[in-house]
Amino acid sequence: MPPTRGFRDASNLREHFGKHGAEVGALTEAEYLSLAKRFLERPMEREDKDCIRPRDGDYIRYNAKTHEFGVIANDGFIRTYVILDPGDHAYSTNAGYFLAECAKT
Amino acid sequence: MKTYTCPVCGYDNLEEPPFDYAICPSCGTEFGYTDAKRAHKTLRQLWIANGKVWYSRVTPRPLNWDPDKQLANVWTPLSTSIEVDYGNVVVAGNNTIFTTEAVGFDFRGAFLQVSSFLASEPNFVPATVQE
Repeated sequence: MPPTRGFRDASNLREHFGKHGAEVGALTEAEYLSLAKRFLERPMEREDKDCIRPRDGDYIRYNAKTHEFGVIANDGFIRTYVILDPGDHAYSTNAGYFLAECAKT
Repeated sequence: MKTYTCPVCGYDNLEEPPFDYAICPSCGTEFGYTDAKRAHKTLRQLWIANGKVWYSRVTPRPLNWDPDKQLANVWTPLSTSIEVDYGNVVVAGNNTIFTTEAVGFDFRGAFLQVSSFLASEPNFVPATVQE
C-alpha cells in the first residue's frame, strides 16, 4: 500500500483515538496514528484480508488473527483503525462484518 | 462551519456527516460500525437505557448540555405518544418530550399516571401506545 495521508483532521484523529486508542494499545494520539499507518501500509501478512469496497472505492484491511480493521478512503485518508468487536458491530463474527463491508455497493 | 445532527442521540454539532466512521462524541456511535447492523432507534434506546451519558473522553461536554432537549432533534412526535423502552416511559407530543424522570414517575404501572398527567395539560391529545 502507498503511504496514507493520516486522519482527515485533528478532530477526527482525536475522536478515533478516544474511542479506539486503548483497545489497540495506544497511549497517545501520535501512537494511535502510527499503529494505524503501520497496519494499513505494511505489506500483506498471512492473516490479512483486504478488499476495495465497491460502494466508494475505499480500501479495507482486516487481520483474522489480531482482529485489527482499518479503512483508507479513496482519497488516501484513514477513516478508522479499530480492533473489531461483535459487541460493537453486532455481526456474529468479525469476519462477517468485514465481508459485509466488502460487499457494499 | 457546517454541522450535522446525530441520528441516534440528536447531538447537533457533529463536524462530519453521520457516516464513513465519523464518531458522535455525545453517544459514541461510530457510523458504519456501531450502526452496521443495528437501527438508530435501537442504539438510541440503548443510550437512553444507559443513562444518556456524554460519551467522549476527548471532546468536552458542552456547557449546559441537556440530553433530553437534544433528543428532541431526532424524536419528532406524530401526535402524543408513549414509548416504553427499557424501563423508561417517554411521552412525546405537541413538540414536547416528557420523560418519567421529568414528570417524576416510576415506570412500572405508570401509564395511568402519565395519562393523568397529560390530561391535566392544556391542549392534551389522547395518547397512542407503542412498544
